Amino acid sequence: MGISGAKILALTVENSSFSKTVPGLQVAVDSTSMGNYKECAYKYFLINICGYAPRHTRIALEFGILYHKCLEIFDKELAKGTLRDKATLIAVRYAMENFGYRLDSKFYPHITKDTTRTRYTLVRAIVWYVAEYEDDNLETIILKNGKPAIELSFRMPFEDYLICGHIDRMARMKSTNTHYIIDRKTTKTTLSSDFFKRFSPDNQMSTYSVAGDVVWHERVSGMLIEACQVAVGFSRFERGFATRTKGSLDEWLNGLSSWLGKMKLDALALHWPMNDKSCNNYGGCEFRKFCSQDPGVRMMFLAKEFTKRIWDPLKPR
Amino acid sequence: MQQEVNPLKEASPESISELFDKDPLKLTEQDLTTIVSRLRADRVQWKKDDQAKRMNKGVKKKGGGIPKDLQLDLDGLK
Repeated sequence: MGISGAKILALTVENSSFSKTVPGLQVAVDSTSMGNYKECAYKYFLINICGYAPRHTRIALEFGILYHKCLEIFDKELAKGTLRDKATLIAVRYAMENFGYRLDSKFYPHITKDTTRTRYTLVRAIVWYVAEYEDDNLETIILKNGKPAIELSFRMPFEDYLICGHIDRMARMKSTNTHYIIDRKTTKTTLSSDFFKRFSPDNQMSTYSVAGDVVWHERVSGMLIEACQVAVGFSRFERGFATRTKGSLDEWLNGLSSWLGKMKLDALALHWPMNDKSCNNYGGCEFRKFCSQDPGVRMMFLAKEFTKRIWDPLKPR
Repeated sequence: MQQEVNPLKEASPESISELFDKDPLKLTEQDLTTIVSRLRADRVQWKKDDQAKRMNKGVKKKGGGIPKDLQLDLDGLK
């Protein structure tokens, strides 16, 4: 790769999750960073260290962020005692005002080729979500500090690192009096049992399951994935479980220790090797086209076609 | 005791696309109420259509398919 430690330090200077003394060593790690690293160390280098992000995913990302934000607003309003209909209007207003940008005081909604992720489908997803779960068996847990367990950031010491993340909601299932960490997903994939199978095993769900026990000391029975299939003509919702036994969490933590060790070795060597067996996963890695270029010219193409975004797990959302 | 008025009960018949074309900062409570009411109605319609579609699929399957107890995978038996 032939990149100097000084250059790596400069690339990560604004990212508080990276060591300021060991170039390229991430000391606060979340499931996204670890997920990238597990997939391909070179992809991790490009995204997490260099800060490259594909331009086309920006709207998809923004759609997901706003979907989460609107439902966070809705849940918080409900927890405050606001009527359901009023809370819906507040969440819808937020979606209407934020899925777009202002130029010379004129509002422009985001427009993409992806017709499933528009301001209209966002607002529809919010309204249909509220209708879908009108008589919900889940209620948001109120934490010991009196705050509703919504949009919780956590930091958990593990060996020489901080494992951090962000959970959407913790809720109690009224019928069984069991607690779950809720993770919301938006997808274009048809919802079926196959969709939920992908979360066991899964890096993110295992991280959150560990956090439930360690950080909030709540008896968490597992993860509940609340999926929203976003299509042009409809939004469909399904919930699925991703449970973990104590044994499987211990096994996952052992694995995490090994992966963090590998991450450190790569940082010390200033070398993040490409995993060319991952290039074709999930319809093809977004960097595949660039990785196929000669390393000498690759960075020039990347700078042209990709945007820059700092992924800092320590920054509150 | 005065009951709080349900804001979603009185939606005006304004076009939803007109409301989406408006500057969002100028949307009134009534505008938002209209949007929500329309989308809720769309959902009710979609649910009906979706259910009918599933029922049709079920009927077709029932007529032409093999009964469940005859769908045994004999090759998989040891």
